[in-house]
This record gives sequence, structure tokens and C-alpha cells, in this order.
Amino acid sequence: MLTENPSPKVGRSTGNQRKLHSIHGLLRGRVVDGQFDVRDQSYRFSFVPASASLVEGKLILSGRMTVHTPQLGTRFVDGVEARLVAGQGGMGAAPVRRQLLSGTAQTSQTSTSSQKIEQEKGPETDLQPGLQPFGSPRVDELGRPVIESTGPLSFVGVLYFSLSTLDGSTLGVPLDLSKVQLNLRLAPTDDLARDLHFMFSNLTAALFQTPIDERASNEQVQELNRMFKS
Amino acid sequence: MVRPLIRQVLQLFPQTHEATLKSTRVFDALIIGSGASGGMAAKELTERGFKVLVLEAGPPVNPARDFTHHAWPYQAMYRGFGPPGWKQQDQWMQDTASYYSRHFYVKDSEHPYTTDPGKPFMWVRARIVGGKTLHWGRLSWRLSDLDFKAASQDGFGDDWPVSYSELAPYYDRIEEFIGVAGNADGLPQVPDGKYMPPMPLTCGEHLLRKGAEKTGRHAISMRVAMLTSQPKSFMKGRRKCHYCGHCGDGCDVNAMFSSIASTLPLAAATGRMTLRPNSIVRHIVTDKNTGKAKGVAFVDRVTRDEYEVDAKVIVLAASTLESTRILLNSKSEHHPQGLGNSSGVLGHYLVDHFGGIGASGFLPMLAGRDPINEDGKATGIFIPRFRNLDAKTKHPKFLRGYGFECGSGTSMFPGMARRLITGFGSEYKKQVRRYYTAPVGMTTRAAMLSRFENHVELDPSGVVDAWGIPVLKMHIQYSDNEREMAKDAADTSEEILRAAGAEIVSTGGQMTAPGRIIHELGTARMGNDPKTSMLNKFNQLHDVKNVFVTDGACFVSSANQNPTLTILALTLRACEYLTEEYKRGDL
Repeated sequence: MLTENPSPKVGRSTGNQRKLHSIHGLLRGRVVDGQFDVRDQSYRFSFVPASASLVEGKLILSGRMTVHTPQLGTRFVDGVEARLVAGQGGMGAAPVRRQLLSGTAQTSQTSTSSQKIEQEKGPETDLQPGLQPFGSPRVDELGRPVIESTGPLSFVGVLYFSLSTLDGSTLGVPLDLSKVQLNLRLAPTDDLARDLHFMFSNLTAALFQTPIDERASNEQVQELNRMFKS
Repeated sequence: MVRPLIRQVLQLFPQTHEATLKSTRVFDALIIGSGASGGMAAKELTERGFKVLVLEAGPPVNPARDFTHHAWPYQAMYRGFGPPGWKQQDQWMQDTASYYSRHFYVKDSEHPYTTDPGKPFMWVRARIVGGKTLHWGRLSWRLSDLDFKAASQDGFGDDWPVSYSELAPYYDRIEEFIGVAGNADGLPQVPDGKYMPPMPLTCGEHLLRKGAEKTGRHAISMRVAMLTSQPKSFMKGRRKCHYCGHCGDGCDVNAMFSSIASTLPLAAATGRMTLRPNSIVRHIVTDKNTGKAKGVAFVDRVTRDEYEVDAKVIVLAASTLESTRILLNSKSEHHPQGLGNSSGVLGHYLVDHFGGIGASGFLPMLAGRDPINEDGKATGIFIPRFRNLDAKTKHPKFLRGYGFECGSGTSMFPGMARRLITGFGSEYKKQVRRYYTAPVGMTTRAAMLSRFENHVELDPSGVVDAWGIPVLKMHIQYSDNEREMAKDAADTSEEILRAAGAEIVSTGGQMTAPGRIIHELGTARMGNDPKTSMLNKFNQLHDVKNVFVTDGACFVSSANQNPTLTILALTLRACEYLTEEYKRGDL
């Protein structure tokens, strides 16, 4: 049956991807923690930045990459560099996360009232559209409603880093790791991650404007280094 | 009772034709995507004799396993809300995904895209057989010449290369095929079609309609792609809606139109469709001599094996931005800016609708009544556009217009009442019980002007997805026109609720971030001039005659109506044209 169809053979094979293109991790404390799969095997990894620097206007984090392999145990490499290349979401705005899905049990416990309003806005699939409270009008200087993306409730997303070349055999991963992208998701659940999130937000705002705000970015990098060493 | 129906639907799908696949070296047509447009293209082309390959980026769906249609909250851990933090982990941008429907949506962790700081875009995506039709909002409005010819009326932007009269017969056929419940209301801004009986209004919606009429606005039953009467003979495996209210989790009686309930089974029944799930298209392969498309390169989502497959015609129906991404990724010597992009407009004129503005409150005359089951009804009422219809309704501060989606009725949870009534203890509970039978609310669906500067591009810093395919960077912001429209909508919604006799609890709100309404449109627009558009009036690339783009990417402007009905009608029309051109040997 098509709905349970194993992928039928069509076309001609042009090879198999031997590269690991991107890995995804969440910031917990100052550790980027994540997992990727290779041929039905799961590999946990962590990247712990030890220092931050600016090189030609780009943020570079340097630290230890550790991979927990199913067969070979834990392997790590020091001095791995992660160069910030892009971001997703309202990184330049105040980093208040959209904490939980609308109406979850925790929403009522952890969200601010404005976040609740944000979460409860009727999506396209609402059965009874409009049946949600609207917040107190937030307006600009001309009396027009503001846009959620420009306020404190922006969708804070991801930082994309390009990693320096890794050696798959050293880390116990049977793939080409020469060009791996690290997708760092910022959704803090602890104070240190929240502080780092705030700094990353300010830093990206300074770095991604034209021209770069060098003073602000240098200050944020200094602060990052202070936190990494604490 | 439900399970046999599922089996009936599944039986419509024939076994995969391995022998056919091996012998069919070149498919007549290759369709990328299996959602609304891809499914319709598959049905139309297979019924016209084409041997068709459908490549779907996501996994197959099995309703018996994947739909959680009638689950009660108490049947699941965390009452169906999922463990804390599940959404931040992998699906933070998938706004409408619930814990029950999460597998219909992509994992953001594998499908990145980028934005500039402070300018976010919310990209909700469904990579699965059936696409977003598994959980779409089902609202099915026609566009009118107020929309198709808007530029001629107000001077902004460009007209569509098609008129309402050209598209009307296709709307007729689509409505007949998918089944749309609604009324013929005689309003030119939302032209009438062929409808099944509308879903009845609740008491609160009747009151709200009277309120709207007092202010000079119309309020009509929403037109939804749901079966409200006995299915017609060609609607095999579909049943009347039984008002359970779980449409977003997958409809396992197939009352709502979806690809897996309607178009794909018919395409499969011809024996001429091959559907390959887990097939992520990397780019379209072109002939070095002619510049025409000769096939696609794709990667298997699971095994990561790479393939190429040949076809005589390519139909891009991967969803607005995914289709544009594929075209941008299909650069070649003949097409250095992306496939068919000699005009340079590929990626530009991105629009979404905006919402988030409205008003809500209580209808005091309904407070304290005995609660009844009103939340199984999959629709509410709609106040169609009333601004800028003619000289009399011209608004001094903005062009185009907006409508209101409205609803009223008791729901399983006290919802708004719980959140808006303060206090504690027995008095609090008493107040919640009293008012949860009386909520009323309205929210905006508004047009966004198509502007060149709102665009997508391949991320210039080289960000890729989990399969190494370059991703999009989004650049989109509202203009003063949308901001002024939002202000007017906030004021007008309050006026209407007051006229309905409601106690206003909240008004205003904030405009939704672009993308959040999931009506992203444009970026490969149609037009008569190849220098300013990607596609001709039949969704065919001006530059590459054997490539068609039939999803929302072809839109010239957003209108304020939900787009899927128009996408289906345009797809049907494009397939007719494609067939004639193919027969003539012109592709």
C-alpha cells in the first residue's frame, strides 16, 4: 500500500552521502548538547566552548567537541572552532522565549501574561476562530498595533556555526566530518543558558548590522569569555 | 466503525509497481510534492494517461497509526499536551503542531532557514504524504476580480494574468470534487460556488451576525472543504462530518478534503502513479544543450542515498517556498540565477496574510445557560472584506482589505473564561462555569501588499539542511499599509462586538509575525511579461517550457482569502494546458 510504501526504486543511484552536514544541539548551561543519527545508530555529542573571539567580524567559539559513540565509548577533540555564520529568529530583540505550546500545563505556571497572549493567538487551524483574549492594545507612535516579531516576544531561534574540520575516525564517527554545521538552538531552561542567550542576542544584533558595531560586539565577547571561565 | 473506512481508503492504493518502475526509464511527468497541488496534479495527469512519478520529501502516512482522531485528554500522558519542552527541542517554529499531530510537521532541527536579527519569519511546514492537507484550515473562498485585477483598481502592483471569469469554471469543478459546505451569499468579493449545506451557526454566532449587520457588514457561514451531506459517487472512502472537532489531528473518516483521502487514491487507482516518499529534491537537472528540464536529483531522507530520475515534464508543487528553493538551487549554465529566472524576480514578492488583531468578550445573554456540545463544529462565521470594494467604501489610509474569522460557543475546556476571570476558590469556579458558555471572538485575516523587497534567497553564508541542501534566507516585513489596516481592524472588531451586545474583554492584539498564518505566497509569480514574472498564465515557466509551478508560489498578490481553493483551481487549469501542449509536442 502506498501509505506504508517502502521507498520504491526509481531513477539511478548517484552515490551515498558520506558527509555529516549538520548537527543540532540545545544550549544547557554553557554546554551545547545534542544527538545525530548515522545508519540507525545514535551518537550523542556535546560542544563546550572555552573561549570566544572576533576574527574579521565573525564570532568564533573555541572548545571541546565530545562524541559518545555506541561502540567506541566517549571520544573528544579540543580546540574545535565554531564560526558564527547566520541566525534564525529574533536574535536581535530581547530574548524572551516562546516557552511552551499554547495551553500546556506549564504555560500557566511559567509564562508571563504577555507570553500567554502570544501563545494563544488563533492559528489557522482554530476550530472556533477568535476565541482567545487579545492583549491590551500595543501600539506605535501613530496608534497602530505593533507586530509581534518586533516586540519582546520575538521568535528566538537558532545560531548557525560552521565547525572547523573534524576527523571522523578520531571521534569514532564513520562519516566525512570535514564540513559540519552546528545548529545551536537557544531555548534556555537554566540561568546560565538564559544569560548566555541574552549575550548571544546582543552580539548578533551588533554583528549582523551594517556596519558592525565593533564596540558592542567586543564588549559582549569579553563578557562571554568571563562567563566561559567562571 | 472508523477502521474499516481506513481500510477502504488504503485499498484504493495499489501495490507499488516495481516492474513498471524498472521498465519506465523516463516518466511522462514528475510531480514534486503530494499536498493540495501535487495531489491534484497527480490525479489530473494520471487520469489523462500520463505515467507519473510523485516525489514526496516526507514519510508515508498511515491513518490507522498516525491519526489520533477521537483521543480524550485523559487517555494520554500529560493530557495530550506532551512532555514539557518537547516543542522547543525540535519543532519550535511549527506553530500549529500539537503533540498529537507533531509527526505531520517538519523538525526545525533538520530543516533550518535563516533571518536577519529582529525580522523573524515563521515557516510552518508539513513534509509528509498529503502535506498540509492533513491538517489545513479547510476554508475555501474564491478570489474575485477585486483581487485578480486589484492593480487596475488601486494602482499598486500588478494584475494577475487571469481573470475571475477564466478561473470560475475551474473553481466550479474543484468545489464539486472536494466538497465544500457553505451558502451562496451573493457577495461579489467572495463569489458564490457549488456548495453542500453549511454547518449550522451557534447561538452566539447568530448574535454576532446580527451585530455585524447592524454596522453594515455581512457575516456569512464559513465555506469549508468538509462533507456535510452524503458523499458523491466519486468520493470513495469519504464520509459525512460527524462533528468530532479533531480536524487538525487528521480526519480518519475523510470528511475533510485531503490529498490522501481524495486525489492520491484516484491517481493510484489509474495504475499510472508511482509515489516515492522520503525523497528530498536537491535540484532540477537540465539538458546542457537545450536548457530544458530532463529530471531531478534527489536524496533519500532516511538512507541518504542520492538519485537522479528522468521525466519529460516537471510539476513543482512542493509548497510556495520549497518550490522556489528548488528553483534557486537549480542553477546551471543556461540558468545562472536559478531555473527560469532570467527575469530576476524568483524569490521576490513574498507575502503572507496577517492576523492577531481582533476583539473578544462575552455575550451576557448566553452566560449561565446549560452547556452544550458546540466545539465539534469545524467552523464559525466570516465577515468578508468591506473596505475598498468601491468608491463608497474606499479607506483613506490603506489599499485592499481584510475579513474577520469569528466564532462563539462552549468548548471542552473553559478556555477564555478560565484565563480572563480572576480570583480563586468556589466563587472563581462559579464565574468560570457561568461565562464559559458565552465567549465570542473575532480575528483578522488581512491582505499584504506584494512588494519586491520582501523576498527569499539562498542563504549567502552557506547554511544547509541536514542533507546538505542550501537553505533559504527570508527577508520580509510589513509596510505602513498593513499597519494602518491593522489599526482599522482593531477598531472595527470592537465596534461589531459591541453592536452584537457583547461585553468586550480584550481588543487589539499584535499583528502576527510574517509566516504565522501559513499563507506564504508569491516568489515565482505569474504574469504576461517574461521580464517581470516567472510563469505564464498557465503556471508554465516562461523560460523552460517543460516546468510548471502550481502551488502558492505562483500568486501575484495575496488577496485576503485563504489560498488553497485557488491553488487547486489553478493546478487543474495548468494540467489541462499541460496535456494539450504535451500532445502537440510543444513541451
